[in-house]
Amino acid sequence: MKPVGALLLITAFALVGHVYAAKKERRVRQLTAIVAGLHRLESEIVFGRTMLSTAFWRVARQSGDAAWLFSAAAQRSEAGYTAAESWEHAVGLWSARSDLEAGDCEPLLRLTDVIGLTEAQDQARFFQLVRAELNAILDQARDKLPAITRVYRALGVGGGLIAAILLY
Amino acid sequence: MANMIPSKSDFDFSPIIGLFPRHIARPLSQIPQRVASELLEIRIGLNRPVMLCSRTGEYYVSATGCTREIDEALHVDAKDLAAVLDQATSSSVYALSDAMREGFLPLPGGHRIGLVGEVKTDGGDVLGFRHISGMNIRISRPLFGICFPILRSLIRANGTLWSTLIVAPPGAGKTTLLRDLIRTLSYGLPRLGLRPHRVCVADERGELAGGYRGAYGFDLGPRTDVMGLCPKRHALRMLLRSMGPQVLATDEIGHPDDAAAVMDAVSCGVVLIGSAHASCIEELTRRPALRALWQEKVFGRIVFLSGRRGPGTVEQVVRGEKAS
Repeated sequence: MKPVGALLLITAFALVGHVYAAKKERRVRQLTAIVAGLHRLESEIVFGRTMLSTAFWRVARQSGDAAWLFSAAAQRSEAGYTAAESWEHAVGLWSARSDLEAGDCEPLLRLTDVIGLTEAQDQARFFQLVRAELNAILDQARDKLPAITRVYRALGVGGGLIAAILLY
Repeated sequence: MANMIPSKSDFDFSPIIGLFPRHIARPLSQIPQRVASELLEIRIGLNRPVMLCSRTGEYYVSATGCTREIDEALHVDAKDLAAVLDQATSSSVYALSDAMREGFLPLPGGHRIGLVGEVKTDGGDVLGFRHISGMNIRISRPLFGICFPILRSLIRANGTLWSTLIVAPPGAGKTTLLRDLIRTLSYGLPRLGLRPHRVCVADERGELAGGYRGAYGFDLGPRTDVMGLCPKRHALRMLLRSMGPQVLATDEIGHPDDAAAVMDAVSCGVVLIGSAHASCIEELTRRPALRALWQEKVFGRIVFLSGRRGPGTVEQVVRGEKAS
């Protein structure tokens, strides 16, 4: 029975490592989706002059891993909340619900006081600034991703092995 | 002469109230029906009281409704103005920037918000507002049949219509009269021998049709086509070329380009009805564009309105002699 128990222990630890590695991979996907979503939102605002709640819905439909952020903002906006309230609320919920790390959402929150409330060219500048900041975070996350996922997976398997040796 | 703005007790005030933050919306919803039904404007400005301009006089919004005492009035701060702007634009200032550059915001139902503040300019052109410090919410009501008392004087002996200019100072009801005239011409009025006309409207500010996001808030009749939010000189030419109008209508003629477009349209044999700001012939002829129209006798009839006995009092219908 001991080898079976040890194997189960190692598998469990490996799974934990894998879960953490997957979380890091999802973070990169979500950051990518947010950057693309913001780009679409900027296009809707600057070129389409689409009303904000409609723009949120349109972007939500095309934003994959970040759809939840934009649809939450759209729902809130349609319920009569201001753009600032809607965006802040959606970003707050999204940061708690997603795999983003502390600090990842700060650029998004910088849009709170300006989203929808200035002319198109100003909106474009705000969006470009936020996207540049998010791209910097994304580049860093992408660069570190292979090493971090390897470490988490190795730590999982290694931790399992050490625990098995110590216990049995 | 007839007073053109009768009271309407069934006016739905709620979309206007919905623009305001709660601490102003609540007392606004408590103002007496007799004031609400006569309301023409709600004026708000930074650090100024919320003012109600009604046919019965001016009031201030207080914590419990409305008052004549300024000491009891609720005052507006920058946050309140931002909240009204946010509601009025559905948080989409960028989508309404063309209208804002003209100094107004359209609202559903044909209402309008006039804007004042500091503007951004570039080479003399207005780019938009840097800060908005005041708003005038102008309440619009569709009124039917208010043009009937003057209609007979606008019809020629052969049953066709004189080109007509409605002249009044701001707030005297000229857009309301023009809108009713458009609708009446479009439907026709058999009891006055007025057959239905194809009417095309150059609605540069969207006030005649009450345009809001492509939909029209007012019934302008079944034979009326509207070119909205387009400079008059372009809209009149486009309508003339493409829609085969019998009557062209436009609001607030004043710029020399408008006058040239009007003269061009009338020269094509189309009847033109329009409005302009002035309170008497002297004022009218002091404005270069309108003086040119007056001298050329473009309009066969000129209707002067005033607020002497309330907004919309018809003072005089002047013959312009040889007009089309």
